[in-house]
Amino acid sequence: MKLSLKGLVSFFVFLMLLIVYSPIIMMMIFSFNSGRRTTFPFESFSVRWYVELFHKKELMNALGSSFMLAIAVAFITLGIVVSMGLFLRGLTRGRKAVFYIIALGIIVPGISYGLGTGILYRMLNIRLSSWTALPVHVVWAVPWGLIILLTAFTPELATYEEAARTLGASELEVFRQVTMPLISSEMMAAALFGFLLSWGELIRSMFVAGGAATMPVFIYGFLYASPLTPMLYSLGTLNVAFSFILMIGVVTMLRRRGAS
Amino acid sequence: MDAFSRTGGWWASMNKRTLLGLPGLTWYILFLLAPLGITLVNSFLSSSAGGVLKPFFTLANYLTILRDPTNLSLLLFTLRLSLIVTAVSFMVGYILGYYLALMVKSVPVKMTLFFLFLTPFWIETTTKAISWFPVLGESGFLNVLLMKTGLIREPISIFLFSQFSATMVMVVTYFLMMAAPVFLTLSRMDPVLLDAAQSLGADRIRTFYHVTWKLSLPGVIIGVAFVFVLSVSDFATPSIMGGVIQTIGMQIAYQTFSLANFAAASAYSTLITAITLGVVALLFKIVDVTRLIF
Repeated sequence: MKLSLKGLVSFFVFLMLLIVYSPIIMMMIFSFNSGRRTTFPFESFSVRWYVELFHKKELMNALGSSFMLAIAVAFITLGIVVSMGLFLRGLTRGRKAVFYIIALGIIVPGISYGLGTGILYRMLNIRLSSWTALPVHVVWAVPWGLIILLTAFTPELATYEEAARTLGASELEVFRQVTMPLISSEMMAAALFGFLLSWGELIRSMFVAGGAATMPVFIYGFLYASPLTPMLYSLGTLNVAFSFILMIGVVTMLRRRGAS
Repeated sequence: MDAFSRTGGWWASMNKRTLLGLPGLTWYILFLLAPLGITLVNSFLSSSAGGVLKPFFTLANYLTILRDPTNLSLLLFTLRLSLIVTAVSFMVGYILGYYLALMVKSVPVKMTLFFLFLTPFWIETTTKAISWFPVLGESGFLNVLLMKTGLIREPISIFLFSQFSATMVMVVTYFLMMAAPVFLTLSRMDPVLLDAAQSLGADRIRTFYHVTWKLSLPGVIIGVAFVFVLSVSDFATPSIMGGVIQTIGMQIAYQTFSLANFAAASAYSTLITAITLGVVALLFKIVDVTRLIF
């Protein structure tokens, strides 16, 4: 049998998939362990850690505020991304400079502006909560959304808009009836990125969110404060399930759009 | 009259355009540039117990870092770890990006594979790290497998809580940030170019180097920048997975949360910000990445 390059690379990618999913599968298995162990041997099947999870009031609060925060971050990110995108599009000079200022949200290590904002809050005597993480989460999420949105501003889009203008549409009408429908999937992606980046954010939140205010900060603190039990695995399993459902939702939506 | 109202309309729309940039720029000045300025200023102040900063200029924070060999090696170790993570992510990510863009022909398969790699990326950092315990631990899956097959007799302990596990988990966490831009740039490539190069007599390797590689370069540069910055910043993964290893990020967290020494934390943070900005500026000098976007 001749060894083809494609076969070799396919095997490599399969191996990567295996490596990426092996801890996830192990975590799912041990989240159902009846004992306290998180490695082999597996004792017996039980859902006790899931039950325990829902009885942890502090954690449930952190989950709730993380969710609210992520929703808010998604909306604000979307607003800034769209206005910034339109601004950059109309800009002739200084376009790159403005883009790089926004890109700093990715280029500067998150720990640096997390720390800086944390110190700023301290100077202003602002009490930390989950909401104090919002500004920093938006700074982190906007560049991703903006990059996605800018790729939607194609020459064809400009042609359609010009046509609408020629037919007498006002700027607002052009945006609402021509531009927005054509960039709506990018807008959706920007909001989704905002949600997900906020939902899983730890490094920056450590400096700007209160003690156990968001889910990732709670988990990190909990890991160091108490012995590891499968409880964190059951939380992780639910998290994995959640991101799968979200991703499947996105794929189906994209498909439906592609079909119509 | 008509000309006047048109000029007026143009002015009004110009001003509206400028207004569109205001919310974003204000947000970034308040919550990105100002905080960075604060850490810069703080790094030249001295901090006493309880996090009270004394307002006089000193170089002491930097001198402590640069004079003390332990701190200096900490800095070098962090940079080395990030470079290794970036290099391995580059190799793995490039192969995946190339495979998805050029080797998989069916679009549904392509998208399914991409989403299969993307979904675990959204799992929260701590959870992702601790999920490796049942795989890499002394009684973990990998050791059990190796012992059952008779390859080893004693469980290998350096799989977990070592530089190896820290590097590996960071690579698995971040290589997608390398694969995605490569996938994107290669997807946009016109496949006709490959045929053209080959019909002009270039072999596979030369075609790859002169066409594919050169066109994928902006994606590679973006990916390298992403992975490098993310791994410099990540203090959670090395502190959970790394055993005794120490990184600058962990030092910043320690100075902030345990000692409340904001001046020292600011000095460390300013140093790594300067280094990463320098590295990224250098990378962006090689290739103008905004070409991809504008």
